[in-house]
Amino acid sequence: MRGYGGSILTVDVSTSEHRAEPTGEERARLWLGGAGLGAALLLERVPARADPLGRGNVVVLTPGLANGAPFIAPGKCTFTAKSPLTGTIGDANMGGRIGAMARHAGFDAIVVEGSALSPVAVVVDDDDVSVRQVSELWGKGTRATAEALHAELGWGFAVACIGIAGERMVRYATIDCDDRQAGRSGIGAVMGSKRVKAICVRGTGRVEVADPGALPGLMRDNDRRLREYKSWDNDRRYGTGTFVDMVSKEKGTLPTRNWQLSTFDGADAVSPYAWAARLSTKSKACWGCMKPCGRVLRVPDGPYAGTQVDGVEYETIYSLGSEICNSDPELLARLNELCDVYGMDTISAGVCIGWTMEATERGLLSRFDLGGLDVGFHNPSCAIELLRRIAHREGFGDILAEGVRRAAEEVGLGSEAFAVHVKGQEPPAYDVRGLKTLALGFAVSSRGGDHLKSGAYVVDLLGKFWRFEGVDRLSSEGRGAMCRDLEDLFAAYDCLGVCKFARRLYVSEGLLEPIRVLTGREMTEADVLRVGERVTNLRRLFNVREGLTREDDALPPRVTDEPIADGPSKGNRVSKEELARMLDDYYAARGWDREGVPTRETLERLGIDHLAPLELQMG
Amino acid sequence: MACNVAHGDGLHPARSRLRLEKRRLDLDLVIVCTHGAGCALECVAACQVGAISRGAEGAVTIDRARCNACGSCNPACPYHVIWYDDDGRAGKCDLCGGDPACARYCILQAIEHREAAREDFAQVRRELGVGR
Repeated sequence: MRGYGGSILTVDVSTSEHRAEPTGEERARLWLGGAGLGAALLLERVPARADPLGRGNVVVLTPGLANGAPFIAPGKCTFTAKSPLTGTIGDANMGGRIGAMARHAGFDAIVVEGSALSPVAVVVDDDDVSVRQVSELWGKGTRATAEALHAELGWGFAVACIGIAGERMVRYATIDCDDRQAGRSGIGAVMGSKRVKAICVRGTGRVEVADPGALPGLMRDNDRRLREYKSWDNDRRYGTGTFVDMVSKEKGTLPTRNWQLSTFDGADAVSPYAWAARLSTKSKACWGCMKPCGRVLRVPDGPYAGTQVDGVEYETIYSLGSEICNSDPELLARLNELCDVYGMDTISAGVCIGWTMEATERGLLSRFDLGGLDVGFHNPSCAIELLRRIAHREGFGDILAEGVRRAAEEVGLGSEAFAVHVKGQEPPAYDVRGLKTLALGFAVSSRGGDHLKSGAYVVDLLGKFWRFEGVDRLSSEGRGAMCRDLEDLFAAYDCLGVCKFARRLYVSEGLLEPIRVLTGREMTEADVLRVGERVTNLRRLFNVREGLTREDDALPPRVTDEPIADGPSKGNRVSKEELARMLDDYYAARGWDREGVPTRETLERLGIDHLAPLELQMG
Repeated sequence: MACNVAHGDGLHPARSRLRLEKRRLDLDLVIVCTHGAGCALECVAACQVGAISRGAEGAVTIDRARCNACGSCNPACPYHVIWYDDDGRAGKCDLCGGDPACARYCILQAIEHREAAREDFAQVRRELGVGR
């Protein structure tokens, strides 16, 4: 099959056995690859209502169709599992080399199932697959683990591994590869539950493409478009955090102080423009990327001297910056490094800490509860110790490791009112009270609090993107169809493994020629969006099967009940009634019923009615 | 990728004439043939059939028709930047005839095509923390 690895590899770590099956034309046609294929395999392999941290769950690695191919930003592969944080379909993508390596080893998906008795690494060396005992690596951080495995296997292997947080099943643990993280949904915890410390892949084969003669032209074209693209140099120098200033000052939508405020007086200090010159040491790219935005930081002196981290990305500037009132970029780098080495999501960890700070200031948690630690927005450096306790599940850290929803249920005392999450997942750096397309995107996202399924922050903040212009971020009119179209587009990126930071270079006809060159398929824009629509519906089917309903498409009380208190968006909120109208609008645009369940007609139109749970198929 | 595409290999990084290695978070290495500037042309000496030579324009290239697939050249190379085809014959960087694709498509200009200076190698040694 042109453009594909060709096979799906399943490794059962209970028995150390493995099997390969052809990917098949049908799967390639329906899902393209990447996140779509991952979602399809999850629905296929995980029984309904399975315990996310039990043997029934699986971890699926799916390279995007673009991984290793001449797209401008082709680096993203996807990890998929049932999420221990939300109970929904969980997926997270990352720029590690493991995606391209899997394709060159001949695999469009690697599924890890079962659970091992003692720590193992899954090692895939082309078609030579083994499950190795690695007890000596248990307890090591992500960097030490990758270093040890590279020393043993050689640098030619891509290593995706978990840290201590994954081992201890922190519900927002990450998977790390090449210092990039599959951050959201807690898939690192699922790996930990299986005692899989690492997945190592080396692929030395050729990926056959449909039109090899067109590859040089594609390279030249990418190069030309990139050199004409004015912001690439800025992205390279300053990374992804450059608009933190604008989000805070101009729009007033940077969540601050656990979402009590929406502008941050330290925004200037944590903006990359303030620290890049002093702390950045080099540019870093994902595998094959021509538009690098990664930065390696090094703190040269002061209390955090020696800190070194790939970052700090925009989301982390919020979660370990404004969210916890930290305006010290060097502390920020340190916290980012700790999360990376422990292997946990900076967004979720930051929001859990912000909630703890607020609960403490409100007198709901005592110094005794917190093991003597001085916790509060006045002392952001307490996060260093809190992160350590979370990763090791020590003291109150054990409660925070469950995520903010469960932590608030445990503590009670009204702390649920300021536990900021959607479906149990802590949200990213956009105060959706002032960004209403994204508010809908948050509510309906298949993996809970998340900006990347709809990507609607782009239209809300800039007022235009792709086919949309003159978007008023404070209006909730007509958001259903907009959110649908954006989700379909972004789901297609995830199937291709094309990075959303290059979205403007690919909207959206730009995707068509590379798809043709790789696979020989002549697709139109509508065809590509149809794949995205199919994927979004499939994710919905998974969540419906797991018992989620319209009630779960909700926003946190802080968003629905408390208007923004400060700044340019002051006074705005998304009331429950407003959200209900947006949901009706969205479900109608999607062809779902009023409860948010895909109708049989919709599934038939997309050719996936046979995948629906039985009671839906019966209509 | 540029290397593969320029040499008509399709998508096949194992056949790239250069190799990337990450030594530390802040140190990535691009390892590629120095065409005699950083070695003593060990590959030329190791080749028993005289298939490897350094041309007038400075590029060390392999005459693939003459190669007898003995496999002596890569172990001799201090950088191990020679690879072998499925049939065992050797291949290596040929500077793309004077305009290397890797340098052309490196938008950060981290790869340059120029005469190597003594200082370049000294710098690499410093970064790696070896020798003087």
